[in-house]
Amino acid sequence: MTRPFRPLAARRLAAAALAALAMTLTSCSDNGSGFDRESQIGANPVLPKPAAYLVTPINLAKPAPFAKGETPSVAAGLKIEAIASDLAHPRRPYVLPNGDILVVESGSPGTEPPLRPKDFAMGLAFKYVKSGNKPGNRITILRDTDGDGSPDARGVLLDNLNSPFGVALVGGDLYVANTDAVMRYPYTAGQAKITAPGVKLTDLPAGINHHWTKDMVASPDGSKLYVGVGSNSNILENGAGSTERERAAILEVDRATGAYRVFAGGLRNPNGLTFYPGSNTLWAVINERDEIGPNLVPDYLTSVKDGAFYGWPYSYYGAHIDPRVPPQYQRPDLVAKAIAPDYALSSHVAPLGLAFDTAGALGAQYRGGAFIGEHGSWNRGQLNGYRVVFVPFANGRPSGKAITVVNGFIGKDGKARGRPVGLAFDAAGALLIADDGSDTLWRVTAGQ
Amino acid sequence: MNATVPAARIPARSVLFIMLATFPVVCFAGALLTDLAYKASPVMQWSNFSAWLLAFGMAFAVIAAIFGAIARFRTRAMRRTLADTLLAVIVVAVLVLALINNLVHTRDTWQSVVPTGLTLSLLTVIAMGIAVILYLVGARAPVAEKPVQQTTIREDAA
Repeated sequence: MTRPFRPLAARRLAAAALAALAMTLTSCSDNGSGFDRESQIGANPVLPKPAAYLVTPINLAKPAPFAKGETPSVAAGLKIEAIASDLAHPRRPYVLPNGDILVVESGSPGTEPPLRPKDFAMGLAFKYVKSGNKPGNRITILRDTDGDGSPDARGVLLDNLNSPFGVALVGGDLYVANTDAVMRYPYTAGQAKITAPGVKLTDLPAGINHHWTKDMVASPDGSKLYVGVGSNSNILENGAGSTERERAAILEVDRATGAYRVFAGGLRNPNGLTFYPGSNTLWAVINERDEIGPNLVPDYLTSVKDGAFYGWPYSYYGAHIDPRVPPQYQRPDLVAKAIAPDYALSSHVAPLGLAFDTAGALGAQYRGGAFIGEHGSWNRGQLNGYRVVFVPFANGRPSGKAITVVNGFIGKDGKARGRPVGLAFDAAGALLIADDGSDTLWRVTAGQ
Repeated sequence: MNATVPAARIPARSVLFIMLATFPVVCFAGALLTDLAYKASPVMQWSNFSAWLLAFGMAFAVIAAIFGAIARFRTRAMRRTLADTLLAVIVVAVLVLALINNLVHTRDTWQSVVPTGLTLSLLTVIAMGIAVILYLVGARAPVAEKPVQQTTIREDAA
């Protein structure tokens, strides 16, 4: 009864199975380099079909921060210098009316528990790209005492904050948006340290804070604060319902009472909240969803309309349905009213900072346009972002192609010399760039 | 001449293999159930359960397969039955299916399970069912026409 073993047959089967597996894996590893990224910049981006991966494309730029004396590169007619270094993970600059510069030094509160085997793997991967100083959870103040444009005095204005990001001065009140609450501190011009305990204006949606940055801007009349609250997940993988309540939204907080309402929704991770100068139009840059393809979904710059819905999680760019939302959760009513944003910035660039140039001190061509800090991609083979781009504006609307104005954050070796985050214009009309990759505050001025 | 002496079969189907193989059997069957629970609910915790069951099942399946392979290579070719060979093929198939299924379950939300993950979970369970049947068939199969061989081995050992 014994049948002789035929090792070849079994080995061939196993080899065929492994070959099929290898093909399945590699056929999915499109790194996005064959795609024209320019086609995703502007009002009507090309949107490829959603992809589903066995292994989502990951390319993390290992940190190798700028050495002393090294700088990013700038477009012709501009120059750049470091005006503060060795900061503790600077995320957002903010310029006070007297010219003092605040730098919010912050990082994730780390309150998102890993729930799946994947979360542990991703946690390890992202540890690999952590760089520089431990996030300070504080606000540093820089002052130019000799009037040469470069600050020469430095101190800690506020310490022991809880993953702060947004900051706004209205009259004598300095507001700080921590990851869990908006705090108010009394502030007089020239004050270099705040010792008064803050008063909580309102709690903010918190919990696990997957997207933890709460950017903030005051309305032009000072009566309201607008606070960006990112989603608690990429695409509902931390649960729907209460986990995502009042998230992926911009909240409008009444400055007098602290009461808030959802001003606009469906904005996966809104940052760079800024009113267009001289208008009541709120603009923001939004990080769109990941793991649906190297060229999906383009991050964007948009004006934010009162009561508008921008799609997340159900759809993107209007009615493009995300197939990962369970049918039980789908909301055709919301998809029907989802509006497409104004201006796509290309996929996975991670815009976190936005500032409009009102002074025109960098050159007439920049006057009135938007500068955007792109922190850089992880979810595509070919890196994208890691730069500051400029979008020209006319009549308060984007009017042309984005151009790169500050570059060189990725070295020739493919490592990250720095990563731009928040932006601001200082009293002299120079562009300030917070760089949390090299713990530096950069200042861009006109010149050679 | 009694051919069904279980003791004689043990080297061909390692005790370690069968002990460890119970983990993937339980875990992968569990993952099918939690996948179904996710499809019905769709509460992410079920998908999380599936991902962990698949991960642990996979880890033990790999170790079990290694011991199975060692046992197989230590068995004389003449003593291997067709059922043994098919069992080896099915074990490889389960490993491949489970690996792909683990990767599919790293996707977010609905696509972590429906439809590919759930389909793979079902195929994995079917493949494991066949493996169990083959194992039992193999265990009942008559062993050798040459009991002398066994004697020889014993003599060697002594």
